[in-house]
Amino acid sequence: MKKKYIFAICIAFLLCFLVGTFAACDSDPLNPEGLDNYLVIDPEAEYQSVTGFGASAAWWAQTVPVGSQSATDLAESLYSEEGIGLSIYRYNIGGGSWDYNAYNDHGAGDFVVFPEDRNTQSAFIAENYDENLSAKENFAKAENYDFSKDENALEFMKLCATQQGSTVERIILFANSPHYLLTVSGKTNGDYAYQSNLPEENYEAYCEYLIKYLDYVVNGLGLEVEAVSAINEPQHSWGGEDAPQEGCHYEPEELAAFYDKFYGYLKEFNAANGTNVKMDVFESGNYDVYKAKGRVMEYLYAMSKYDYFDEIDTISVHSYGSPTSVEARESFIYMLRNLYGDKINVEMSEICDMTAGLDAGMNSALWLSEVMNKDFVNLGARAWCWWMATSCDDYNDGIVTWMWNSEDGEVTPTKRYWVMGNYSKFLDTGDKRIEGYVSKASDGVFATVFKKADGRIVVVLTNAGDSATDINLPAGYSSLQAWETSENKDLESVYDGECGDTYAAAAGSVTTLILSK
Amino acid sequence: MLKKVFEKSTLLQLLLGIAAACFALVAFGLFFADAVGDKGGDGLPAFKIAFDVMIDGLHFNARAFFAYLIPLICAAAVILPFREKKVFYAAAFLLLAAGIVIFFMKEIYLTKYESDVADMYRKAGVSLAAPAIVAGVFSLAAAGLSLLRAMAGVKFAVKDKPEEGADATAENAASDNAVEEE
Repeated sequence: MKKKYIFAICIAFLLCFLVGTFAACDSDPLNPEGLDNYLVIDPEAEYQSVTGFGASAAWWAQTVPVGSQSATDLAESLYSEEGIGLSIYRYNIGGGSWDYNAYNDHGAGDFVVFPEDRNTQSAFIAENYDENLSAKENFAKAENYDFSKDENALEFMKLCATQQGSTVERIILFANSPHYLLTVSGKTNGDYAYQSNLPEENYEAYCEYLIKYLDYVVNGLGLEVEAVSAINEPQHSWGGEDAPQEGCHYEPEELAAFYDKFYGYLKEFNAANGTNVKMDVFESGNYDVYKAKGRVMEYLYAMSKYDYFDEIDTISVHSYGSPTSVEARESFIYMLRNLYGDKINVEMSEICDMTAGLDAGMNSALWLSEVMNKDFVNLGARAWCWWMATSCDDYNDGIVTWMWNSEDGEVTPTKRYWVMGNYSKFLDTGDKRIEGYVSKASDGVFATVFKKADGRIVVVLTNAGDSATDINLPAGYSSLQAWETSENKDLESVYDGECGDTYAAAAGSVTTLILSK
Repeated sequence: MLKKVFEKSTLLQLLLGIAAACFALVAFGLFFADAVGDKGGDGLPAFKIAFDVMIDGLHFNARAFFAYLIPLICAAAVILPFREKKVFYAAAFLLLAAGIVIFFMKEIYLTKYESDVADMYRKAGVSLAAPAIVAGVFSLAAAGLSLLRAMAGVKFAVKDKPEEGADATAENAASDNAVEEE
């Protein structure tokens, strides 16, 4: 009998423990009333500062006719207050594949429409290459360059940066591959997978090439350049059949050694021109620390052996590989912090929805919103860039569609464009991401929360669910403004008034809420 | 005492086998279920190193395939009524090996790197994921249960050994029936 009592007491304790544990797991101190879909905002808990939103001008910008209506419309849509106000312009320094028409059908599949789709112009005049001189000497000669070859892209960049109401704050020059005359394969991709295509003897020649571009943009076009990104997704194979575009594989030690050379060139350029152009490192193709081919930590480690690493405070990564994985991001940040503390900030410099067939609707836009949310919240990204701003193919790599080469082709925004606008139009450089989320959220409901310098709170609220959801708002805010992107609305103002207890987030929508005290 | 129990009860042996199989399947499932169901599509997050070793960056990995296919086969083996009970010893051994492999997976993962890079990963905090540790424990538990069944089974097999002679087969069949009725 006594044993039975002891047994019963033990069971009761066990049950209490289990119930208590579950209750503790379910409780949220920032949602003391335990409300469903409660928008938590903690302005005191600050995280990273926002440094901008952008897109790449690779491939398409070289088809924008100078002085055309298309140029005006595209510039306004992308880089002005009239459009979504992107602030980061990514100009592509081509490897010259246009010279030999490399990527008209090379592994790219059916979605390539134009032969020039993925070929790039180069300002270097290949015909001038003198075999009697070294590569460095050839690429150092100013007379070997003709920047009018890439006039469309260069002039379009200038238009975006100088137009009335321009929102361009940062210009980054990036290259996917060294010029083909500098590579082992003689092409802007390897002969085989994972071929290191830039030989060490051409490191300085490639530096000369990049500096010539930088010099032209700074002194020729009169634009302020923030950074040059010489290497792109170095861990990828970029060779053989797996090379539908320009690209160059580097082993970690090769990448680090090249940057050491380039850092010297940039220092010299800055000293001579009174500029402060930085190296953008290293456009990692992913942040998958546990994938065998991820290797992001290995590249960082290789760089850390050089003195220039002391001056690197930001790295750029791409969200390919694990675009919607929280764990992949958190594992990367965990390792980054363990090795380098808070020294290294992260910017997300490229992603696109890599699916064939154009999805201009909310399906892809909601996916984009999820990626943005996780990049800001779980990766701690300060900046966020889409891949190509403009596409005309049957592929999800643009945020607007426009018929390439056309003088006055219509610029048609996809829903991705508007959802990017849900962030970029309302957030300025220096705004802080703060602690904020939807507590006890319904499926598909999440929020990314920021604080502006004047104390206003910007919430990008996503409801990927099939039905409208009432979001319980926190107390203490007097006014609320809302702009919605959904199937029938394009970043449209839907509310401007008193801040009530709830806000109804439409089904399949992304809404920017601005809450003021 | 356990031996005596198992010698007398086929039902208990069967339960033991099922328990061992379940443990092995949970161990196996922990590696695959969440990985396959990961919304991010990369399949690796919860499993970190364990998963990386298993599929090596989404490419087929024979080492990992066999390391986790074998426990699955073992799981099936411990339920089946083999008369040759040595099968259960083999299953126990393989499950034990699988459990040990899981616990050493971090070191296996790091062997592919140069020593300084491996050290960097250690400093970076590379670790076995919690589900992997649980999977390892389950695999070892399954090994233990298989071993128990094997030990009990040997004695059981000796007891059922047929007599020499023409009617040995009939006696053996009768004995089997008796066992099934227990």
